[in-house]
Amino acid sequence: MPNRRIRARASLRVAVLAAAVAVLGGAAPAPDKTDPLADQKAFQASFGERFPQVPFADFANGPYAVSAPMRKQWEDIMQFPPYDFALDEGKTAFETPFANGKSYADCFANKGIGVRQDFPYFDTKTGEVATLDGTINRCREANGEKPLPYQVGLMASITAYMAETSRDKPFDIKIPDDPRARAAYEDGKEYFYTRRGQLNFSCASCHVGAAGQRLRGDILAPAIGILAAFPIYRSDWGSMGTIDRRFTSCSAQMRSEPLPPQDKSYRDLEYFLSYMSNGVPISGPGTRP
Amino acid sequence: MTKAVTRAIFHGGIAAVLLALLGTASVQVFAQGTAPSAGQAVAFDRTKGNCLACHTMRGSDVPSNVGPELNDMKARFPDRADLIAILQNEEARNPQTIMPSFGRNLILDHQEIEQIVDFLYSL
Amino acid sequence: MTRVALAFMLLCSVPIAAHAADKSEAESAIAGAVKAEDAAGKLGNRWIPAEASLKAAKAAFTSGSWDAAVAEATRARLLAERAVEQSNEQKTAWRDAVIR
Ligand code: HEC
Ligand code: HEC
Repeated sequence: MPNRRIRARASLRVAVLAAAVAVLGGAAPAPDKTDPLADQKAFQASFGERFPQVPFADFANGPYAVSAPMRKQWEDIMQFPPYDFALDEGKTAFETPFANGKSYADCFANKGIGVRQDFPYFDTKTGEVATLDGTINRCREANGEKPLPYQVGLMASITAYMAETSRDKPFDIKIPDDPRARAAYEDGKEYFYTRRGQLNFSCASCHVGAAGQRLRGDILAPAIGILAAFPIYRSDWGSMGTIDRRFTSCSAQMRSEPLPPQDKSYRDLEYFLSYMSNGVPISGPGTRP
Repeated sequence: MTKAVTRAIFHGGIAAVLLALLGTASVQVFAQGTAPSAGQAVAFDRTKGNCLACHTMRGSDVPSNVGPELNDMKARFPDRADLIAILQNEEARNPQTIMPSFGRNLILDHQEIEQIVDFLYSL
Repeated sequence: MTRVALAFMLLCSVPIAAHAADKSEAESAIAGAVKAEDAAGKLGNRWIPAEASLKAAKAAFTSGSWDAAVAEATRARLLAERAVEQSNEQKTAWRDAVIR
């Protein structure tokens, strides 16, 4: 403990020194300037150093990438993937025209096949982050259909099908040269690193600091590639779940009141996490213990 | 910051006093000397300490390793105040810790923390 | 801090006659909790246990249990105040956690 205190004092001294240098030097770089690409490089390098045995593409497999025993279990389960029923249901729904004769394919580039890796994207028309799930519902509404609930059910099935047609395509998230896009990225980044809730966790506490470690029965998934497998079938849930379902349940684990699905902060968070994962291949739909 | 902490503790104190006022007759302040089993119950309770989510220790049935194994506590933490401080607010010692600030965030009250420390000293 | 702790210990070691709360005390305790929870909500940081205690306080109030209403509302307020404090600290502290 005493050496921690000394370290804190030493780093205070360094900070004071740095401040002095900054004042003397005049043109010190603003410390908080957003540089998403530099963030991404540092993020990926840090996980690479932490898990040197894990090939980069394998971060698409969440906890299985970093735990050999779990991986064995997983390979057994994958003999009969529990998401198969959802894939079938999603494919059928995707291919069934709406009442007005149009279909999901009309709302997406390349008719919605092999596009998962481009989501979420920054929509310069609305000035907000558009997720795959949100775009599916906007497509429905534009064609006179009711929006789907976001966490479970048909939304999970349709996104499962769309992910499956995109397997192995690397995340390719872009941050356009638009201050609103930078702001959305920065908001997601802040959300990810901010402690909230009674247990005093941030998302990073578990998925950066403790990534790969055991929290009771769970191996904590590393933050890089953490959305590549969505939607997932979780044995713990006994059903499929979307990104919103996972965000909601992690917020609750923090004893922090979850945001409504597709809340701006959750979309910005998805934008940040997906951008950090650029290059990691889509592996969804996934299965988890 | 220290002001804020004092305020939090002060408020915590007021709450405890209030609860004491409202609660039944006797409130035991110094749990020191309680049976370790009382502290163990609080420590293992998933809605209270939930220490086993992160730590392995005697009596645990899951292989958690987010935090270090808790053993030999008397030798490693001879000063009781150090353990109290860790349970009160580990963030003060390590700003990046993942360990919850049990006391500061009112997850555990004073008495529960004292009970847990009694239990830790039996490890 | 030590002084507060000492006062606290003193207060608690002396058996104190139970004081029964009345309706208006319960009302103002709940109003205080609601205000604190709203402040936490503005910062996007409502704590689940604070919400739960506030709900319990309102339920106790409805059934006329003033003591329980005051106790729960007080707990809700303290939790919410701590949430606000956490958010205020995190406004700058989060940057220290960023991977660089
Ligand atoms: C107390 C630790 C903890 C915190 C804090 C936490 N999570 Fe999780 N998270 C888990 C656990 C446990 C799982 C399930 C096991 C696993 O896959 O990591 C999980 C799983 C996930 C997954 C799915 C990973 C996969 O491959 O299946 C995502 C995505 C996720 N969390 C996002 C978040 C976000 C976003 C936050 C912040 C709002 C957050 N988590 C905060 C513990 C945590
Ligand atoms: C979410 C995970 C988590 C939980 C829950 C948790 N701890 Fe910790 N604990 C840690 C970590 C990580 C450390 C390492 C020190 C640090 O991070 O500052 C630690 C350190 C400690 C230490 C210092 C040990 C040493 O060898 O230095 C003690 C004592 C301790 N914890 C006790 C407890 C007790 C008792 C509980 C339950 C009331 C508990 N912890 C719950 C994560 C946790």
